[in-house]
Amino acid sequence: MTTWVIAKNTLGEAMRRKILNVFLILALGSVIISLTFPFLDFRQQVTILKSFGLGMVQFWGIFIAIIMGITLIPSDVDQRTIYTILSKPVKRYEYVVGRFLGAAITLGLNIFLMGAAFLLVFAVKTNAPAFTALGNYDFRGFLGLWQWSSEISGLMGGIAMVYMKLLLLAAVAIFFSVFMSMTVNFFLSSAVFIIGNLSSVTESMASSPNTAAVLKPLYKAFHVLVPNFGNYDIQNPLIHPDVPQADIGMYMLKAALYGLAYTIILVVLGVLVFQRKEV
Amino acid sequence: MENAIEIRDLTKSFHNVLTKEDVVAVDHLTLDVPEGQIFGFLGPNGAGKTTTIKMLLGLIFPDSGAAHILGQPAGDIDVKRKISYLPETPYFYEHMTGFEVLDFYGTLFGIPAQKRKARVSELLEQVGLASNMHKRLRFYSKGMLQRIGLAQALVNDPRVLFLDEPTSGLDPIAHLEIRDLILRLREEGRTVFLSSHQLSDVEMVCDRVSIMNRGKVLKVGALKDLLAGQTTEVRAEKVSDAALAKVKEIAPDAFLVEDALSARVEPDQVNRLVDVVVQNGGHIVAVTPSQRTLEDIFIETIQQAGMPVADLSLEGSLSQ
Repeated sequence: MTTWVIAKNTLGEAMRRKILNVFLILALGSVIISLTFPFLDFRQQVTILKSFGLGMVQFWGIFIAIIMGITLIPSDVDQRTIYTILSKPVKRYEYVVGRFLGAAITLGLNIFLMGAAFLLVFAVKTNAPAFTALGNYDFRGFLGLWQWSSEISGLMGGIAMVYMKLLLLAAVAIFFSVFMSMTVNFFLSSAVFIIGNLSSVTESMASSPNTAAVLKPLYKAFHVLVPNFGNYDIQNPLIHPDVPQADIGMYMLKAALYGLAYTIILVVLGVLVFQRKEV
Repeated sequence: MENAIEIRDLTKSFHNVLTKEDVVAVDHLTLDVPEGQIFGFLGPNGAGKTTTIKMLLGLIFPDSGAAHILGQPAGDIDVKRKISYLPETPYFYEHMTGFEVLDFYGTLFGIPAQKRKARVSELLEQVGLASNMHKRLRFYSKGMLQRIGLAQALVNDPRVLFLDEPTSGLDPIAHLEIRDLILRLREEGRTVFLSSHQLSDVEMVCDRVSIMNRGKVLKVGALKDLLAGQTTEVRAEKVSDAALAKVKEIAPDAFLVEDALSARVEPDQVNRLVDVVVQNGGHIVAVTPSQRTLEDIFIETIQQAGMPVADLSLEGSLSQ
């Protein structure tokens, strides 16, 4: 109950924060601007729209996740709002989990709005030829409509993966925020995100015979400890569905479970540190 | 009378990263606060008052010792249902309105929605913010924020209130209203743990006071006992530094402004002091009997502990 009260308050606070609203408006603007892309051939247009749209949702989502993650708890501590919260019957874990859940809901809402705008733009831009074909009794062309709807569901999966990736990033930032300053946390979370995106690189460096023996454990540690953000980069099969791929549904489920497990571990660690934190 | 707060041997030190030394903020503090009283917790800045309050609220953890509030360990969740806290210069979520912020704090106590709504409206009326309840806190003045702070400290109908500088930033009328409110809290049987630099306020409302410095309690007792006894103020002119040194043997807190002396002594020491002044070429200007004030007690206590008045950082509030 208390956790939910803190989460609801976090959502209300975030939705009224100017900087987060600016990011959301910029994201929506970036997605909508793709409406003006010149019409190339249909296939090329679809590819560009998908790549650009998913890229924009992720790009602006990163800012929202990091800004929220690094500020939510430290701003309460710095501005001493925490005194009036923790002096009430609020358990410390309820506060941290509530803050995280609020961030997760806010992030979800932002990604949902950005994703919805992207899908709408995509539908408007790609659906027109299918309907034109139908108007011309071109039933083979109309089959594009079926293809369109399957692509939409694929893109929704892609957006969900972006959400999981950013949720994990927010959890990293929130974990560091219980014991680090905002500035240090900003750079550290960003570094973790970048290294985590290069997970396949650290993995191959750890196993490569050309890597110096002393560096191998370091690469191995990076690969094991840093969350694998690269797991969620499934844009390529979504953008080029004709390229042969493994069972994408199962892959996404595994990636989501991996992210969820990592997120829970980070929140639990954050709670453990915050439990003894002096505010 | 039972004790609302019992502190035993409470100690807290902080590590200074720069000097690599531990600084003792609260040093084996032992204190009892009887239930239903207003207790003044005094001390200059850095005395350890806020550190003590934060330990009592479970915001920071003691190195050793123990504290109990209403018979339960300080910091316990059950205790927190019965207490409240108004921090010095409180900060609340600015995106909320006055009503929303009190409603939020009410929710943290699990007060049901209907009861909460009535309670919040009642409190806003009580602190004079009913007409501003739908205004966002970012548009509130400092005094209005202080009133909201006090209202949030009352939302759970607490038995023990910790108030840290509750009248800070208030205009004279609001100041008076809050002082009356604190007195009403005692009439309602609540215990108020009041940390304040406004010694005149403390003198007017408190039943007991403690004076703390450098983490230790230097004096504690009923206010009427501490203020008992009269002093006499002696003023003189043309007093030399050499004469001052002799005067200080009788009145340790005597001081000179240019060659004008001001000294405060017990009535039976007046003649002796006057003799010393006259014999050393001084001219007596006035001999005035006066009641000891809390300010006198405060300065005297801190000085006796070896801290010069000039070092006291009381933000100019001693004479307020």
